[in-house]
Amino acid sequence: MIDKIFVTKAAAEYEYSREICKRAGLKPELIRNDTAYREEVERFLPDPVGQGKRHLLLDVFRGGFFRKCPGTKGKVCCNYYVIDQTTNCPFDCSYCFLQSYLNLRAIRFAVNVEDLFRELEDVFRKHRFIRLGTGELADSLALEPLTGFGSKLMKFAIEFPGVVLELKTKSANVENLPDVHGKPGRGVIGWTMEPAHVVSLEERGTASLAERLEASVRAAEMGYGIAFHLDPVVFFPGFEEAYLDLVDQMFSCHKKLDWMSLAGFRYEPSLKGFVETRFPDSELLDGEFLRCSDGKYRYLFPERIHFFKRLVEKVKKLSPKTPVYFCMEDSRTWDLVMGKKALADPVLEPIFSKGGGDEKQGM
Amino acid sequence: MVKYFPIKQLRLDDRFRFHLGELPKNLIRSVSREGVLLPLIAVGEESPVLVDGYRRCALLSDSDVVAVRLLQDERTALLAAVELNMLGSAYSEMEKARLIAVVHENAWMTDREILDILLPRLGFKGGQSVLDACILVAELLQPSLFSVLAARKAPLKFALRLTGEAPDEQQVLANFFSCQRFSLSQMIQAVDLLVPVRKLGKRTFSAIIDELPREEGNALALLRQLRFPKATEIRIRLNSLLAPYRGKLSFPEDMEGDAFQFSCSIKNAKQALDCGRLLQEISEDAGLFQFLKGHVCDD
Repeated sequence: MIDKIFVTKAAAEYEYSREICKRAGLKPELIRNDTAYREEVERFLPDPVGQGKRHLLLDVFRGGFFRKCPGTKGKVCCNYYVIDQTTNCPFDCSYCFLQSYLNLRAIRFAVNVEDLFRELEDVFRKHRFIRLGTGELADSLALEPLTGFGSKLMKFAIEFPGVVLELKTKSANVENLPDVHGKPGRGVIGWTMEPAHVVSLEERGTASLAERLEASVRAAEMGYGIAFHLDPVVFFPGFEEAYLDLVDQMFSCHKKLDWMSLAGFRYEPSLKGFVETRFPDSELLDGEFLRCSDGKYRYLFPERIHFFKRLVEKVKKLSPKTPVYFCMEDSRTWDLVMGKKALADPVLEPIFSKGGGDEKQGM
Repeated sequence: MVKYFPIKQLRLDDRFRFHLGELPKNLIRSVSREGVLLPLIAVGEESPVLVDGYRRCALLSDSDVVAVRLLQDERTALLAAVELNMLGSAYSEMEKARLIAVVHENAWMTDREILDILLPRLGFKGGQSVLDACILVAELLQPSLFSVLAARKAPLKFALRLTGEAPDEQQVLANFFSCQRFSLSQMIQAVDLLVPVRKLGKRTFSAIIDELPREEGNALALLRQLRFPKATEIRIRLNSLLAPYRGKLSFPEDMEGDAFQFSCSIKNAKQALDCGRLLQEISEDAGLFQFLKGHVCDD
């Protein structure tokens, strides 16, 4: 998965860098900084996006690690907070926005995790409730066998009451996570779930659907809450039955999820070229799309609504207490699929609690 | 060193004809009035090979004498030509791609030199992947398609995308673009439409294009109908519903809406009455409500 490790001068000072290199069994290349990686390595790669995913750049990040998920203008926000400690991912999914979003092609991993923990401690002490995760610009557990970072972070965060930490992944790397039974915080492992057809065609290098389901059962046994993200829902011939079948499989493993999110595949125009050139067999762009008011392309509105209704109905039938929410859809979609009062449904309380702004008195 | 030579003494080499289009009109005027003012660039002293100035030479007669800057090797001459051209009539991306591929093929520079010296001078951002793209475009694009793309100053990315097409499909595209006199943006749209239509219908470009009814005009609109049958169906239905209320009633362009929007300006009582009547008519239009029912939900 990782062919080469580059260590910046600053990161070389950290014991954590040595640990990672030892676990990977790779001799690191020392470089000046990330700019040097760009100029001396990335520039000479025939396939910078693909090859960069096999390069791990250990670096020191001096800025803030923690921020609110920006969401999308005009869409319903779910008050999620994100930690940007790692950027980029060894998995190669055709639909991944990181292909057109990142300006450094290696996986950049910040080894100064003590700085992150200090920053988080400050945040956690100020908030009664906060839902956060590391899966915005990276897969939270893809590199776990090398870095053990997910475990470190979970062990730290789980000691704070009111903290809900989600590690979002397409891997099955849960073995080394700590047991979290009886801890004051809540640990959640979230998986992107797709029918096997989509996994094999669009998600290179990821765990299979069966492996993800097995891993989710193991994680639940270790005391974790489970989240599944049907994001992106990809339309292909027979997709409706495939996704409904997937929901059956999910709820045959878990009676109730901590949450489940839904979102149809959407893309910025800049992603299209990457899909066409890097994934010639992809079926991702085969559907009918229309450009929406936010500039992104989405499947036809009636088709989305029609299918989401079927899907939500099925989830509600199988697991009425599982909170289901949309990622990056507007309130009209919510109304049409879930009913007018959906956003006020108490089942969604854990998702939409405005924990981020809810500062404790006197702190 | 600059020397004077009659045009006929200069040896020509097609490898150095990088500019594919014609000279800009102001330069043609200038050459016809004043002759060639800026020395041409060539390599070799006894019988120099012309490296830069092919289009200007074409405007002169064999007996004309021109100033020629003689350089010792192709590498130096090419860099001088690039510098000169990037100041004035810069190369298009297709021309740059060909230039880079020729330099690579003739080993006038190492890959590293191309990345470090040539690409920046040509204003190309990127590294090895750009060099590889240039080589692929020069090697795999059929000459007819290359010419059509060069004439429209197509970006390297678009040309690279077409290198994946089989030679006969490239030929079909070149003919289609030429026949339709497509602009660059229309060519890109056409490929965006043709590729998925071919994939989903398991047909060739040629079969799809042959099936387009010629007498109905706009090829792109017809391709759009083939590519987006459901959206087309919705749009046609919507247009027929909106037609009686044109200018007053609308529906979001992206079809993301669950409501029609009515707007009108009222300047006097008569207009208010007219609007009222129209609203009444709209509220009784079963077609509009049938459309919404199917558009957002069946129940």
